[in-house]
Amino acid sequence: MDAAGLQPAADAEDMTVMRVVARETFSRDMAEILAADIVSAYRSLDGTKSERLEPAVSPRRGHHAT
Amino acid sequence: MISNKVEPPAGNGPGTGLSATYALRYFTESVPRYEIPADGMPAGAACQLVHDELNLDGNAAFDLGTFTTTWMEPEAERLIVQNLGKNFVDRFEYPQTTEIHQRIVNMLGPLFNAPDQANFCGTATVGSSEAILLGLLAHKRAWRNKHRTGHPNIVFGADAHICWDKFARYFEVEPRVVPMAKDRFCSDAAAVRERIDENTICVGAIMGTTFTGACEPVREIDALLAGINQDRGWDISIHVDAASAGFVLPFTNPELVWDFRLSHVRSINVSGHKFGLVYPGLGWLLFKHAGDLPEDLVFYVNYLGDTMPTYTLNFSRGSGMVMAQYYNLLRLGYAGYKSIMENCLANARYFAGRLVASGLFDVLSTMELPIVTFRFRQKAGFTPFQLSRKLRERGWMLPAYNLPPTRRT
Ligand SMILES: Cc1ncc(COP(=O)(O)O)c(C=O)c1O
Repeated sequence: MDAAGLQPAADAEDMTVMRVVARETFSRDMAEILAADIVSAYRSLDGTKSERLEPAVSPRRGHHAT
Repeated sequence: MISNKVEPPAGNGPGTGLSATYALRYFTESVPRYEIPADGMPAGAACQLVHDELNLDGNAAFDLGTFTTTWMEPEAERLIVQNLGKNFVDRFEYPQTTEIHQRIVNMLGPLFNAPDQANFCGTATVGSSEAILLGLLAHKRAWRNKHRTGHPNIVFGADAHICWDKFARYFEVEPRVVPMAKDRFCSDAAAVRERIDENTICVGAIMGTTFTGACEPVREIDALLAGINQDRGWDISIHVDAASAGFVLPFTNPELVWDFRLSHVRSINVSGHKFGLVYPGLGWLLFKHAGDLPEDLVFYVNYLGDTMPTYTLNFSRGSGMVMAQYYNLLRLGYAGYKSIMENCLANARYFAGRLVASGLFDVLSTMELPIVTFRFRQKAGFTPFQLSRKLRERGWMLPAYNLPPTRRT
């Protein structure tokens, strides 16, 4: 508790939030892409979507894009 | 920002200086990092060096959490550059700058519905923080002018921006903070009632909190004060922090009554650099009646052989952002601001809808303003801080943060 008689939220995790301020530069297109990216980032963190960090084909068969 | 002294590493190995790689073109030796270089360098070299270092900063276009403007039209930028070197406080030298400031204040008074008979006044500030510090200071002085004894207090919600705490600490006023309930992210009249007394300098009400964009019930607080001031013979008024909402609600929802239409709302701040659509460095403070600003807080500067009143914390500043605000008001007009704000709101609601539809998030914002605050619907094996970091891989800058403390149960 602090001096004002307040205490941090009991369930701190529950009270952690994220914020997007839809300013003039935040287009509908950006909203679309961002929402998809958020879901996809969430999925890769919770393990329901696996991320491939290595090329799927070997350099002998596939050309590593430059 | 407070920067600390850095002990330079011994010797002249790595870490002692800026070693630029443009070996032959610009540099043969590294440039000291924490000392003023003995000699200068060509303009192009210095510019390139600073520019390259700043590449490490995030791209402002991807900064989605910020309230402040990251883009203005090239014409506005031209005006800003033209006015950077004009000291805003030099009224004698730049009378037209003073005139334009006066025009803007006169546009904002009616925007916040100052009554026709009210002799409002206002000033540009560096941002809403300075505007709030000055606004609350006026309330404190007005209280002190009436009460020779007693210790002043101020009532505001735990959802207030840090500058409210700053005021309380810097100006030695006891903060009486209304805690948040689990599902209510703003102050309410009943909680205010429990905390006010004859030494309350004013009550704060926030239109568009930093945390969730919630709008506090100013109307209810106004009604509460009307009753209690009459019963007790007190004179407690309201300062509205409309840092965000001040340039949104007058366009998107002009019927909503939160401003000078309420009799106890005596001062309002708004950020020019948020939905006023100006780059960082501009806020506004308005008093409903010139008399709400105690005369002994006002200083005078020379103005064309006359004296001009000023009310600021700092003295010198550039005129660029004030001109940029004027540009926006002329360029957009009421209709322009209205269509931009409606568009922002539509995009915010669309985005919030997408988040909810994913089934992964709850949106906490009430969406009166284009601010979307969300949290995980279910407990996950990771935190929003980790999600924030993950999103950075794509360039998005999306802050995760904790909501203010809740009421003790
Ligand atoms: C509600 C509110 N009040 C005050 C401020 C402080 O404003 P400034 O950054 O303009 O000093 C902010 C900034 O985010 C805010 O959201």
